[in-house]
Formats: sequence, structure tokens, C-alpha cells
Amino acid sequence: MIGFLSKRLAQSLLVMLIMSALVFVAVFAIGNPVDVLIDPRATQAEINAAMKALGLDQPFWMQYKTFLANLVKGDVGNSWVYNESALKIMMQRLPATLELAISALVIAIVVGIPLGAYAGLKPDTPSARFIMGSSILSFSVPAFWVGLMLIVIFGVKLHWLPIAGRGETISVFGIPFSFLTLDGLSHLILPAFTLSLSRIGMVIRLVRSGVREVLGQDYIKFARAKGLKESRIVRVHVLKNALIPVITVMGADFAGLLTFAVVTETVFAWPGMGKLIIDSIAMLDRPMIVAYLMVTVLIFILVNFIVDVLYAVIDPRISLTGAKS
Amino acid sequence: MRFALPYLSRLLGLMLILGWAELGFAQTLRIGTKTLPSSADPHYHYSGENSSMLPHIYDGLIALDKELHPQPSLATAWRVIDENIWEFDLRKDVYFHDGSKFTAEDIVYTFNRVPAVRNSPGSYERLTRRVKKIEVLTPHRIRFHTDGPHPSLDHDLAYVMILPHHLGLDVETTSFNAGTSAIGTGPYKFVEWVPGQFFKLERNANYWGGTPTWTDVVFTAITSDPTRIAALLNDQVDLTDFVPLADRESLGKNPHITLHDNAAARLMFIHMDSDRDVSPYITDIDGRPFTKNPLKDARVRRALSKALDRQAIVTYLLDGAGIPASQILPASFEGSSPDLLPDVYDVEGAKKLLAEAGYPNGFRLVLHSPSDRYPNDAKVAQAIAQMWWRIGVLTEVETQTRNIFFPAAARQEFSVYFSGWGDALVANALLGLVHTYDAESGFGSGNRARYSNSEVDTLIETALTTLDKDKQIELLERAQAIAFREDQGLIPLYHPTYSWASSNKISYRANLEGRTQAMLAKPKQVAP
Repeated sequence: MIGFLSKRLAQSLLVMLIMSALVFVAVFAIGNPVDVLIDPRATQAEINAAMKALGLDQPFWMQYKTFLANLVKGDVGNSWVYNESALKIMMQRLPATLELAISALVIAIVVGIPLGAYAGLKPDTPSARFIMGSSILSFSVPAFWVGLMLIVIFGVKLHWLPIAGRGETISVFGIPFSFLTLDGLSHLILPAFTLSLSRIGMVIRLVRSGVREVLGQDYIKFARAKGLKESRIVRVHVLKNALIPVITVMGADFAGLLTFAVVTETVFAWPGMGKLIIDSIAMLDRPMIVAYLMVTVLIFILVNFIVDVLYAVIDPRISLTGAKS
Repeated sequence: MRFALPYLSRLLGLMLILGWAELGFAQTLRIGTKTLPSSADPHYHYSGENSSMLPHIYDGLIALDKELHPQPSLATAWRVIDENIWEFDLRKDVYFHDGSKFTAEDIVYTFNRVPAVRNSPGSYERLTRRVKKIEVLTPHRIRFHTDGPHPSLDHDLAYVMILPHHLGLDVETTSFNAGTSAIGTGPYKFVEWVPGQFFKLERNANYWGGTPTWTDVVFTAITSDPTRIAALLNDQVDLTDFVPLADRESLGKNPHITLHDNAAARLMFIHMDSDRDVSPYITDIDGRPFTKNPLKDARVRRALSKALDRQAIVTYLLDGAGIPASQILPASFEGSSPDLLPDVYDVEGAKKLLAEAGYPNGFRLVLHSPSDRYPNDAKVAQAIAQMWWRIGVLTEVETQTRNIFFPAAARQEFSVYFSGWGDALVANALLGLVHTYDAESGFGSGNRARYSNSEVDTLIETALTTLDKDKQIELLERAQAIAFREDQGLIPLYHPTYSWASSNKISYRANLEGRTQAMLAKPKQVAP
């Protein structure tokens, strides 16, 4: 277990190092961030002063060296736009995105698993066909379109739900959450549903094919022969095994949900990380972009790690050490 | 609930008649805004967003009115003593939000702090630099000594927001952002700010200018245009800025919504490389590079201007939200020449000029434009290209996002580009856009096409040190006539119109700089 952990940690450090170098090269290649940040009426002297203030007067490799030296001390740097710790701003935004992604995941699972299981168990019924048809639709329509349609229907026409922002939040251990207030919850519904829509379709299809595959296995026939109750067979033998691919895919996808909720966040003015990174790229705010990618890589690694552990819990054939296989 | 509405509105009307609204009837103003400030520190980053938000909290010595004329604020009166000395009377009995009294000491402190702010990506120093010395005569009378005649000092002071001196010189930007040091004399007090999310303010009941209209003000950042408008239609916000051109028509027809339009102190223009002999994106009709850049010939530049149908661009691409331009500001503004009218659309005249200049068959060029900076910028660039094709100038359009476009423009990577410039002062705009580029003095900082005419330079420089208004205006008119007509150093295209939309219960009085401020919004009297 410790060997597994340290190997993962070393890998992630390497990935982060490469990512940061890539961001440095990319921002350097695009041009001088001060030209974007500064008032266009600024004189050359003012531009130079601003470049000096941001450390951009140094040669490229020196800038990267300074960055690495600070990183070792745990300092990613200050955002050029806000003059505050980029990591701090990042962490202000993380809860909003986390809340949105988890809500979307919960919706996808709660809606997707029963529907998928039904479609798998009774594949030839009209309702199963309808479920499968809808699932294709759910991941073929683009999220921004769905978002805008929901805004038009539930916001502009029906006036049922708010369509922008997080609403009222309640702080738990200093972290603000929307889902704890009625107002916040009403703000959460539309973006969470939009984000979950394509995942609902994915879960349905994964569960269905899993169920179909498992149903044909010998151990199911054996369980039936043993005279077990159908509900027990479905619950213990079919679903448990059918869920393994769901965990893998949703696990890998959850990190994606977190980091690429950009479109949904933009459409619903949800103040998460995705919206922050778009704003930061537009302003060439390099420390912010670096901080974002660092946190992203960390999340990916963490989530994958959790998936691996879950895997071992559900499927006894898999061992984390991987030494004796 | 529906049946109760008539009674409710009657009750409201009654309350208004009884003057309850005057007594501070609790009212919150919710504003959905495209952009929020980058800091609560009034001296950190000189940008449009910050200049729009921070005057809620802080006052300057001067305020600008709707036409951008200087008006009393923390200074009640001022006079020019001699060409380098300005005297200001300070308002008495003004208190900061923390209860400390405003005096001359705070002015001195503010001017010392501006250059001391660390890590600024765009310093306010440009507004304070010309002041060499501040002489405190009494706690409520001061004199500014400038390093030379500086006629726009009063205008500059409108952007320098005054802080209480007890904050000390080493106060950090972060302590403003947290609210601890966000202390001004302004109409609203800082409550809470989360970058890119919301900005909350509350009424300063002791405001020297009378009780502010709103008890609470909440700015919510809604970057996405359709969402911002939907939030207004959904009654989640009362007022929104940057109304997208596409939504103007439907909002105009909506009985619950009021549109508020205002001309902007911004010029959209085309800059042409008239400096380099070989310009990177100009070739002859067969695609071979020129040895002599055709744009060096003023007749060619005139032809490009005459070939543009400005009215069509404004009518069809901006949905009417703009006015054709011939100079820095619309003709009715100070320093604008009433005789300089927008070029008339004239394809034949343009072709004739091209032929005279020796290009009867035209040439090729690439027009660069930002794609996400100005309303419909990329579409306007496409239209410009089509109009130039009609006179034989085969134009390709290349659009880029702003984070790529502006650094590249600064590196002079373009031959011809479409962009905008916002400045309320004609003299300053001319200095930036058409004065000969000089890195050292900072003149011509926005002149990326490197247009140069020494006569124009002299006119601008003289105007900048001429305190006599009439004389200054004369100089500016002449400079504009040369730069924008005789030389066609750049092609003025149009002045955009800024739009706000609000619920019909609110009136909004926009100013030329396109500020989104609670001070400019008032509740409309509801008819009983």
C-alpha cells in the first residue's frame, strides 16, 4: 500500500512539473501579459514598471526558476489580476465546483442506475426501448444548449427557478455551501441537472450492458438453479458485478466533471473553478493558470486513487500492490 | 396573489405620496454585471472595472458629470492661481466610513500612497505624477504644484480616490480586498466581496451628499450575455449592463423592461501601418510583397476611409447602437470639430484616389481584429473587408481573442487592424493614438501603426499645456482635421452606444464612460 502511494505521488509530482513548464512556455509564447492587463493608454515607462512588478522583466528561465524556488516553499505565487495568493482564490472557488459536480454525480447515479437496471432486465419492453432512446439523446445534446433551454423554460417563461449564481449559502467549517439553504438549493437544481444529463445517459448504458452481460454468466444460472429469490439475485449478484465498470468510468469522469464543468458554470454564472480558469486565460494570469492546473492534476490523481481503492473493495480479484498477478 | 396586486400598488402609491420613500424605505438594488473589479484597493489597478465599482466606496476631490465635466466632490471649489499652481477648497464636515474626519492630510497621504502600491499591473501614478508638491494651507485648503502647465489636472483628480491617512503607507492590497481597509467617504460602504462572484455594499447613512437611494446594493457577476439578460427577465436582478446587440429588439418590446442607451466616449477605428516600407500583411494583387508600402501614401489611406459605409455598419451590424465617427468624440463634445463630418461612402471616389496613387488594380492586405473585446467586433471586421473588396483592395480578415490580439498589436505584428480607444479627453486620446511614437516620453503609446506628422505633434503638445480652454479647443480641432482628414493617419469608424436594461421600476442615468453604478440608478415613482 505504501509503495503504491509513493509511486503515485512521484508520478503526480512529475506531471505537475511538466504542466507548470508547459503553462510557462504557452503564456510566454502568446505574448506579454501586461499588454492585456494594463490600461491601453499606458506609456512604455508604465508598461515597464508593471512588468517589473510582476517579474516579467526577468529572462524566461529565471522566471521559471523563481517559480520553482517559491513552489518548494509552498507558494504558487500571487494572481496578477487580484494580487492575492492564486491558491487562495482557487480554494475559494473549489467548494462551488465540488458541490456542483457531486450533485451532478448523485443525480446521474440516482436516476441512471434504476433506469439502466430496468432496461437491462427487461430489454424488450417498450419502456426499456424508450429509456435507451432517451439516453442517446441525453449525451448527444450539447450542455450549453440544454442549459440555455432550461434557462428559457424554467427561468424566463415559468419563473420557477433562479438561473444565475449560487444563491444563499451557509458556511460549514468556513466553507460556503448552497445545498443547505432552500434558496441555494433552488439555484443548484438547473446547473446540476444540466451537468448530470450526459452522465445519466452514460450510467444508463453502462448499467444496462453490465446487467445484460452478467445475466448470461454461469453463476447467475447457478444462483437461479439454487432457487434464490429473483430480487436477491438482482441485488447481490447482478447489480454488484454490473457496477464495477460504472465505478471506473464515473470515477475517471468525476475528475472531468470537476475540472471541465466550465460550460455549465459559464452558462449559469456558477462561481466555480471552471469560470475562474476561463477568466484567467483571457487575462493571461499565469500564476492563476498554473495554480488551476496544479489543483486539477491533484484532483485527478486523488480521484483515480479512490477509484482504485473502491475497485479492490468491490472486486476481490484486484489487489492494489499488483505484485502477484 | 394576483388579486392583491392592484391593492398593493395603490398602497405603494399612498406610501410614496406620504413620503415614506424619503424616510429610507428599505430597498435593495440587484445588479447583474458582466465584469467585477479586480481589487477593492483604489490605487492597485487602473482599469475600467475598478474605476466603475470603487467610487461607490471612495470619493475623489472632483467628480465628473454626465458630460464628463468636472464637478465638486470632496473639493468644493478650485482655482488656477498661476499656470503651475492649483488651489482647492476642501469640503468640511466629511467623515470616512470609520468615523475619522476628512482633512488635507488625507490628500497628502493618498498622493504618497499611489506610487507606493506594490505589484500593480497598471498604476494610478499616471494621474498623480504631474503633481510635484502639495502645499497644505489650512486643513481645508491645499495647493497642488504641477511640473508644468497641466490643464486636465481637475479631470485626472476625478480618478484619484481619497483614503484616510491613518491606514499608513504599508497597508497591503489584500487588506482592502478583505474589507478591513476599504474605508472611504463614498455613498456606499464595503460589505463583502468574492472575486468574480459578487460585491455587496450598504448605504452610508452619513454621506455628505445626502442619504443614498438604496439601502443595499448587490453586484453579481454574470459573464455570459444570454444568462445576464435571462436573470433580468427572471427578476433575479433589477439592472444589467452590456446588453448584447442581439437582444436589444426583444427587450425594447418587453413592457416590463426599460432600455437605457448612452453614447460612449469610445472611438472604434482602423490603424494602418504607414511607417514601414515592407509591412508584413500587404502584398500586390498577385501576392508578391511590395518594396514600397502603399499605405505610406495618404491618398490610399483616404481611399480606404471613403470606401467604408459607416452608416450601414452602425445600422445593420450594431443594430443602430452607435454613431458614425469622424474624430475622437462625437461632434457635440468639447475639443471636437463641428466641421469635421464622417466621410461619405463613395466607391468611385475611392477608386479614383487609388488610381491616382498608382494602384488602379488595388492590392491585398490582411485586416486583424479582436473577436471578444467589442460588441460584434469580428463581424464589423468582416464588413470592412467586404467594403474594401469593392474598391479592389482584396482584404482577408484574421480575428483573434483579446489575450492574443493586444500583445501582438503591441509588437507591431499587424499591417492594418481594427480596434477601439476609450478616452473622455480629446487631447489625451490624440496623444495616445496619433502622436509620433516615443518610448521614452510615452507619447503615442497606442500608436501601433506609427503614424507621424510633426505638425500634429506640435499641436497636441501645445494643447496639452494650454490652460485657455478656447485656445486649446482650436488647437485640438486643427490637429484632428489633419490627422483624421488631410493625412488620414487613422480611420475613425464609429462611436459605440452602451446599453443597460432594467426592470421598468428603475430609471438609469448612464454617463459617457459606461459606468455601472448604483448612484446612477433611481427607483421610478410608481403611479398609484
